[in-house]
This record gives sequence, C-alpha cells and structure tokens, in this order.
Amino acid sequence: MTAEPTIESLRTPPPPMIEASGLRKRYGDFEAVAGIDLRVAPGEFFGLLGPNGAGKTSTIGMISCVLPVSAGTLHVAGLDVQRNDREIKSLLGVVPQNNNLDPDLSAHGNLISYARFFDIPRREAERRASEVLELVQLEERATARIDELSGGMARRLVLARALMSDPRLLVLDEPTTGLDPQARHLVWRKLQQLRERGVTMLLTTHYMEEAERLCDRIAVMDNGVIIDHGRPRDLIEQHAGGPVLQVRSLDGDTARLRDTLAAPLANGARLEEVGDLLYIYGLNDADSGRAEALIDDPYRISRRHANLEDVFLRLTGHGLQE
Amino acid sequence: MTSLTARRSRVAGEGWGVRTWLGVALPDHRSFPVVRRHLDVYRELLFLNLVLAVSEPTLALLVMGLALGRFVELAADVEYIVFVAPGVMAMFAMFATVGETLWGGYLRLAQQDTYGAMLATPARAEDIAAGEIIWGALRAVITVVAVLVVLAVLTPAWDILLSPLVILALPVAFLMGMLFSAISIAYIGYARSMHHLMYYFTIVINPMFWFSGAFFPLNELPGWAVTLGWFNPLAHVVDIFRGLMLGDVGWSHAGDVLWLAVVTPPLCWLAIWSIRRRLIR
Repeated sequence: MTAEPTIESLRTPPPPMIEASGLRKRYGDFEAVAGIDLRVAPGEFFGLLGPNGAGKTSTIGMISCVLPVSAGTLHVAGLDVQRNDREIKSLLGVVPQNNNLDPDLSAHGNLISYARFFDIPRREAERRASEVLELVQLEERATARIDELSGGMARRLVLARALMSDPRLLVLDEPTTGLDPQARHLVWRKLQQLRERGVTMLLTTHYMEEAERLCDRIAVMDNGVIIDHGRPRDLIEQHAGGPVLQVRSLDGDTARLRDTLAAPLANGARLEEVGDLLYIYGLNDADSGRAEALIDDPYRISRRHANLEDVFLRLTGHGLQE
Repeated sequence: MTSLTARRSRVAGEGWGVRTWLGVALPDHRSFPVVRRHLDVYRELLFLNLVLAVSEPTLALLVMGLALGRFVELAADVEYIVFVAPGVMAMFAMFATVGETLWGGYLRLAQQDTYGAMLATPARAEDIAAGEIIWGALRAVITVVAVLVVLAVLTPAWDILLSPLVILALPVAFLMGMLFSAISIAYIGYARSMHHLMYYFTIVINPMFWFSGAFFPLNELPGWAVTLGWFNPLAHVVDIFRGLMLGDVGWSHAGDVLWLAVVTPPLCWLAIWSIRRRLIR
C-alpha cells in the first residue's frame, strides 16, 4: 500500500452511488430480497420495477439505512450501510410509499422540523423551505394544515421535504401511486427537472409507463430477485420485440382462442396469457394481418407497441398488477 | 476498541455495525429536533395547554383539599389541603407525562408514522426514543410549574408553600418525568392497538396513582402495604414534594431521590431498546 497520492489515484472515478452485492433481506423464514447485485452510477435515474411483494421496498429500506441488511454488502456513495448509517442518511432524500407528513404541523412547519435533523441552521432552512415549496408549486399552501391538502399536494409536499437537505440521492418509493394523471404528470416533471440538476434517483414503481418514461436504466424484480436489467428500450427490444397483438378471448376461453390462431402462430410467434387476454409477440406483418382477419372484431383484437409490462410478462410469465 | 459491553458487530445479519451498548446505540444531539417538534406543537395550542395545566390541578385541589378536607382529620396537625397539595402536583405531572408519551407516542409510532418520517433523516431509533423521553420529562416540569403557580396563589389563605426549597421540585419533576416517559415508551413498543394502552393504564398507572400517599399517609397502612408502596415510584415523588413544600427535608428524601435515580436509567434503556426493536426490523 502506498500513501503517496498518484495521478492514477486522483483520476479514480467517484464511487457508484449504490453498490449492492449478494444483498439479502429476511424476515424470520421469509426472504423478501434473495440476493441481488445492483450498481447505480452518480446522476443516473434508476428504476426498480416489479409487482407488490417483489422486494422493492425492502431493497430501498436497506439502501436508506432503516432496515438492517441480512446478508451481502451494500454501499451508498462509497459508504457501508452497516457502519455509516448517519452519514449515508444525511446524503439521502426519501419519498416513502405513505405520506407520513406530520399532521400536527403546517406544511411549512413540516419542512422546518425535518431540516433540524440535518443540522441545517434556521435561516438556511427558511430559505430552502421557500425554494422547495416554490419548486413543487405549493408556495401558497405554506401555512396549510396537512389534512387540508389534496392527495397530489401532499405527495408534492413529501417530495419537497425530501429535497430540504439538498440530497445527492433521492429514493422514491412508488411516488405517484394513487395520484390522478394530472398530478402524476406534475410529479414526473419535477423529477425530470431534479435529474437534470444531477441528483441521482432511485425509483420503485409498478407503473411501466412511469419506469419507461423516467428511468435511464431499470431492474426488473420478482420474488426478491432481479430477473434482468438494462435500458428500458433495450429490454423491450430484447424481450418483447416489435408490435404486440392483443386478443381478448370469448368467455375467458383462451384455449379455444389459441386453437383459432394456431395457423398464423406457426411462424415462431410467442404467446403469453394474462386473465382473458392473449398477447402475441414476434409476429411479422403478414401473420398479424391474418390473425386480425381471423378474429375480425376490433373490440377484441388490437395491435400496439411493446412496453415494459410485456418485458415483465415475458420474463416472469405473470403480470405486473394482479 | 472493544470492551465487555461495547462491541462493534461486523457479522452480516447481526444488525448495525455501529457501537452498541446492550443492543442499543447511544443517542446523540439528534434527539433535540424531536423535542423541538413537540415544543412547536405544544406552542401551537399554548393558551389551551396552559389553561388545562392550571385548571385541572386547581379543581382537584379545591375539591380534594377543601370539600373532602372538611371530613378528614389527619394525625399530624396539618390541614388536608396542605397534605394533599404535593400529591396533586405529583399526580398531574405523572398524568401529563403518561398522556404525552403513551397516547401521543403510540399515535406517532403506529398511526401517524411520525417516527418513520424521522428515521428517514440522520436520526436513529435511539435518538427518537430519547427525544420522546426528554419531552415527556419536560411535560412533567411544565405541569409542576403550573401547579406551583396555583399553590402560590392559594398560599396566603392556606400555608401550602412554606419553604423556598420547593424550587427543587423542578429537577425532581424532570427525573420523575423521565421515569414515567420511559415505562410508557417501553410499553408502546409492545402495544398492538390503542386498546392495549388501556391495560397499561389500568394495571400500571392507576394503582400507582391511588397508592402513592397523595391522599392518605401510606405509612399508616399495614406493613405489607408500606412495603408494596416502596416499589411505587410515585410514592417517592410525593414524599419528596411533601418534604420540599413543608421545608422538612431529611435523609429519607435523599433515599427517595436515590431510588428514582437508580431506577430511571435502566428504564430509559428499556424504552430505547423497545422502540428500536419496533422500528428496525
């Protein structure tokens, strides 16, 4: 070991924002996270996509140092979560699944109270509070009580709270679940703005549209493991390919539907079933035209672009949302 | 460096690699934002809170001291209101602390997820529990101040506050507040619903209240009851307050303070351990 700083050591790139290897989380006999490897670069917008119970929340619980690691290693900004929990937490902003705002304080009071835990001086906290309230377009609701805020406003206030400490890593656990489309789009816009400022993002979601739209890279999780990861577009290309034919069976009789479509499906097309729907991947234009002619009912058959939900379906054999 | 009790766990699955003492890390200054949060909320309804802090003990003193006092004759030559005043002070201090940490604490722990939000900051479960204990203790002090004001107003009519030593009731109130906060917080870590809180209140707090020596002299009961009373923290507090008000302080009061000072730290450890166990799974 040499103590002398060399040009080489000065050139060392910054450590990954998140680096997990063989990471596991057990609750008694149940293993929520069953050995995952993860690497998120600084400035990246990274998504964990998976259904409820896939292990997403446990994973980010360990990353945000509120759940002890059962096995494996996990570093955030080069720091060990098992040793430097306070330091790591001071770099994080967390948007939890539930809006755990303090109902006994005003919107502004929530921000100031939160800032104290980060040793932010009062004057600076006041400055940041007006800044983040403006960012999430809540400056007029500063004195409002929490129960006076709509669902979308409360969600934006939780985001504002997470930004009070000027975090390097923003951890977002299903940030838009339960929001109407308008509120969801507003949150997405804010997240994109933050990403442009260089904040690293870790997002969990079971909305494929959200993951596809926001994330540079995603990991698809199911039953506590990462089944595949990569850029959304690459994953779609790789697992689902071009257009998807979506056919609704009559009275849920998918077996009969398969028989009906047997002819065009002969050419290496792949089939997945979700409820009463049949998804057909990898069809060429001629085949898909023949299938459409066979069904001849625009209500039952449609052609669309492949998306991340298809990726998930192809990888796991079941849908994202039950 | 490792010692017998302080160790740094390095084995995965053994929890944090931070230094722990008997399973809990030492709280640090991040307990104070918890206290500040409670102070902010208390100040929001300051007027109401102060009215409550003053009116309840006043009512109790007048009813117990004057109305009931007419029918009571004590062996010692003191008026009943003078006898009952320190008891009323200790009892309301206990109720303020328990109300804040038991019901308030449970609400913040299990219903509002206030602790969950605090955990997303550099604060640890240990800091949150310690902050709750300190705030509970401050509630006892606030109550004692309010009762002392009431007693000072009543003193020209009945000689209640006879000694300047009574100012020492404030640090004693802080100590007793820590103790009652600690047992309440240790309990909420186990409570599974709001209903469970009533068990604790009925089985633990209520008997302490009735057999504290607030309303009748404990030492005139049969021997076994006196022995049992020794285990009641509130009885020691009432003893100390009574001595301080009358200006009649002796070694037995030093014993009472020692009792509280010995019992409180392990209870604080238990409270912190209980909250950590509940929050960090």
